[in-house]
Amino acid sequence: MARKEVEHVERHPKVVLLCDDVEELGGVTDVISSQITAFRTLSNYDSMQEVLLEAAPLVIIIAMSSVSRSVELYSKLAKQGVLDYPHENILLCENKESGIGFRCCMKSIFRDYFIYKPMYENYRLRMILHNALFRSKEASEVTNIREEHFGRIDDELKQLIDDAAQYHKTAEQTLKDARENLDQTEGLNEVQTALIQQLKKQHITPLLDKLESQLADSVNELTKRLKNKQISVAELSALLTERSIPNTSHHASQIKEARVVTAVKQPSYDDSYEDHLDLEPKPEPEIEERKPKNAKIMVVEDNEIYREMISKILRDEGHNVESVSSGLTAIKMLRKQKYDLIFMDLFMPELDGYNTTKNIRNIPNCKSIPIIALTSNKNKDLIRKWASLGLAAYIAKPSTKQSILKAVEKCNVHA
Amino acid sequence: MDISNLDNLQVLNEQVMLELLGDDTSEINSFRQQFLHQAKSSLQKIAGFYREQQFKQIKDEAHYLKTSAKAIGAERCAYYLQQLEDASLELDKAQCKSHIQSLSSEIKGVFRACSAQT
Repeated sequence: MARKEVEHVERHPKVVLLCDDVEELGGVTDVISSQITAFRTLSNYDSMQEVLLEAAPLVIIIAMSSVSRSVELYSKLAKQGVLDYPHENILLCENKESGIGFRCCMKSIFRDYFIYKPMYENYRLRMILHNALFRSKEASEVTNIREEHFGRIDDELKQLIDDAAQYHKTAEQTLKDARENLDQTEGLNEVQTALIQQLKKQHITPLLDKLESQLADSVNELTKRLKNKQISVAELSALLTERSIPNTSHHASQIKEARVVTAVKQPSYDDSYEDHLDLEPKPEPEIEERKPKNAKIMVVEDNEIYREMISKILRDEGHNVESVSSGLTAIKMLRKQKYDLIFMDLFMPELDGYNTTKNIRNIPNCKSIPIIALTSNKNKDLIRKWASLGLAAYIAKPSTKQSILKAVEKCNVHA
Repeated sequence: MDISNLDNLQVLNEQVMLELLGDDTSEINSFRQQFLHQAKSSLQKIAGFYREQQFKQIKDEAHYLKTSAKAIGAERCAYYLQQLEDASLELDKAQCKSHIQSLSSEIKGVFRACSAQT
């Protein structure tokens, strides 16, 4: 058993085989490794999570002891948020479960399936793998180009907003200087001075006032448009990110695990695929819909007293809270686990809230995680800059229990 | 919490913690004790930074303590911590000294207020 594990321990695999019994899959691993060397077999759930988060393999092959266990595993991983990136998934199943495997693919839970027991057509597996790798590489390249492209547009928009502000400041200073020069200007005699004063009062000052007002309006309008553009770009990027994640993981994350077991556990080899495989999410009874959800919340705050206070308020409401004292620790934890919401301080040693958020937004499953800023009223400019990275709300310290819970509610995270 | 006007600020505004944590007295007392420990340790650090004229460190430590001062309702402490932050940003040694002394006195005030309530 250990033999295969040792053979396929690629650190950043492009293909992973998730299974519960490595020994059973000797033939399969040989076929896959003959096709691609960047391949790893995983049978431990923690390792699966870790490798998926770190390496984001292009193709995920699942071969648990039954199709229902494979669906359960994929669904669990999707719910953990470790599959939120473009990838292809392939189900391996026994011949007796081929009907279920086929129906799972028709229901868009898996992209393709292959009968490995008995394995008659190893070239067929190689073909499936080749096509999956090809499609996945293309999707991944598109994602990279998109992220780079939108990142560049965003940087350029930020620069334009800063430039507009700078231009406004410079122009205002020029007008101010002009007014001062005018105030100091005197004529050669009283008549000339009086004439200059009259000119100033009747024509130049109103003109300068008008110029100043038009300038302010134009710059404000320009900045507003640039900011709107910035929001549109961010929204479009988020939408495209959402689209690039395969339907399979969306489907899988919606599957209720208990229903999967009952629905898939009664295989009928002869069934046609139209037969109802109950894997689609069904509306739950109203009471169940309202059932409390324990949100997983991270509190990032360097002051232990305030950190503990916020954590206590959230825990008392039934949330699952983990607190950390630095941005760096937060990033490390977010790479490993999925959270529903983050409370974050602005000023922290080593890495402040703004830069921590910037890093968090680059973690695959954290691009849209709601972040609530904890800060004081004094840092409005910094908060504005921070908000451009996507803040769900902002709380002025120390705040009140009511405001804190309201902010959580606003993020659609209910206790 | 507006801590810009000292005249309106209390040594220990009980309402702040009531609004944050509710009326769990033992919890409130526990946080107050934690603050007093934290304040003592921070004040010593600030004094050390002041002697070595490490203004950036003074600012950071003052900001750190200000968070918990605000959270337990030690409004006057929070005021002087804000003043100390501003003075250290301006590298104003004389002002820093004055604010550190005021802060020390305010922390003693919080200690007395806490003792009176327990």
